[in-house]
Amino acid sequence: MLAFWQDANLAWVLTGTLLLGISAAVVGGFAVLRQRALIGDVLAHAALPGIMVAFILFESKAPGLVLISALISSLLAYYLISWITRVSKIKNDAAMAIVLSLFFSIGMMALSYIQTLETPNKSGLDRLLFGQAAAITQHDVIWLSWVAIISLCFIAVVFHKLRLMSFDPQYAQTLGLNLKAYELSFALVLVLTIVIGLQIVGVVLMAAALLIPITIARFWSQSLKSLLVIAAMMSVISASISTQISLMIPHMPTGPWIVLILGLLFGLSWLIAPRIQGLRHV
Amino acid sequence: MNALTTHNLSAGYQANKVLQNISLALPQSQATAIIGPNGAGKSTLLKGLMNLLPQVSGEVSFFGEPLKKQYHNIAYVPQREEVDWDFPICVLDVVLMGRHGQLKFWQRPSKHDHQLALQSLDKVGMQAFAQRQISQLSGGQQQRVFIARALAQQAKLYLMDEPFAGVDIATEKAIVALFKQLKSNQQTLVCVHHDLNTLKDYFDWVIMINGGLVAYGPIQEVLTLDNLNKTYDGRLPILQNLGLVNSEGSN
Repeated sequence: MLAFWQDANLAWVLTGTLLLGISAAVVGGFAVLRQRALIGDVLAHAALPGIMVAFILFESKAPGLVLISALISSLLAYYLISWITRVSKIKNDAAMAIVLSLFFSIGMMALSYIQTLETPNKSGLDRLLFGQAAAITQHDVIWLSWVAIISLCFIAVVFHKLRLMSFDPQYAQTLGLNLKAYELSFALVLVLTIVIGLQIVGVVLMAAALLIPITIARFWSQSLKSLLVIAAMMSVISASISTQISLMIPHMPTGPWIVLILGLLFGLSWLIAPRIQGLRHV
Repeated sequence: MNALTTHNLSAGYQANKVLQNISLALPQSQATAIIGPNGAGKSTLLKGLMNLLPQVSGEVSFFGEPLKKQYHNIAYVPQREEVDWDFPICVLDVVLMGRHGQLKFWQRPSKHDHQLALQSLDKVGMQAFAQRQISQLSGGQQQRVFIARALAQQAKLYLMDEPFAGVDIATEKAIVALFKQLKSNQQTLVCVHHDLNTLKDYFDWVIMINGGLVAYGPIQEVLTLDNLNKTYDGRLPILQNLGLVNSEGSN
């Protein structure tokens, strides 16, 4: 059996999935608690047209360019949703569904167009749809590390304010806090996390990496700090196992395995946690 | 100086505002109730004062200054139903939120902040619940936690949205005792209130609204049958206990 430490390249893959798992679990955890569970899904889909248009314009897939173009198009979607809900009677969920499909269609059109081009380095763009952890390089991991550090530091520093705004945004406003500035910075961190996740789990499964860990953690704890730690641990477990599986079995994709194992952990927690807590109360 | 002055305040969720042209002035150190039928805009008035709605026009000043300069002097208590009580947080952490208006974005609550939060919990008889998860609280306890959070702000003016709605008798008594204490400390209260039977016992002033302003002032002066009829469009709640029907009815 081959293990990850026997191969430098595989070590990068594992590091990449771990970093992504941890930051997605923590940042996504806050999104779920703000009852904005699906915003991550929308932003992931909305990143696609940005990346494709940037490729058409600059014929490049440099990580910096991908990051900035994805950032712009996801934030555009984010503000489009809040604009739609503000100026019309359309509710948030409908607005999110509209924006998600609209941006994704544009992204798919651009992707199809790119496939017809003669540009040499176009291969790999379609990977963003379903992700391909095995293709992670040292270069990517450096980017991933920076984004993970930035996201986690941001959450740690403004933890109290984020919690206040998640629990009772209206009250936060009556305290004179600048809600919009916090909203924007949280959206930025969320988009950063999503963009780096695209390469590993892809647009379609990104939401799972953001949402499932915190829902597992809710079976085990009541305090927000330990919830976030447990969520990160769940991500670590699923990232390690899935990397190992895709290594042992040829042609096994890592992304879907990450999600599947998170799903298994969810099922197990659902079964076990109430019994253990029941024992504690006796 | 007045605690609160509004001039032509209109507010609502859409361009067609629920609340129209409210102009009033409330003195300090009084307890004022906002009364009116369902949909009259009572909560909208409080939210309009705090600029929490998409559509707000007119002028509002607190202690002679605009809201922006007075955030630290005003504490708002929302209706209990407006938050998710399954949120993973303990009572003390909710009350500590009251201190965050004074803290910069990177600052943690200090020891002093913790003391203030515990004192506030004590004032509503909830200190024993400090470490309890909020999901385990009863409706009355939730209300007391929200009031404690407002107390932790150490404000001069308290705006409360139906503090007595759906609470048990113990909580109602605790809140009434607190009102007396706040008033004796020269603090000002404005509450949305539903129960006309307790109006005179709990409050000094009243604001009567029904979309627009019907009347406002000291209860003895403005709580007349005529004004009540205008406020409730003739569909008056039971008035026997108010002692108004006989005196006004004889006219």
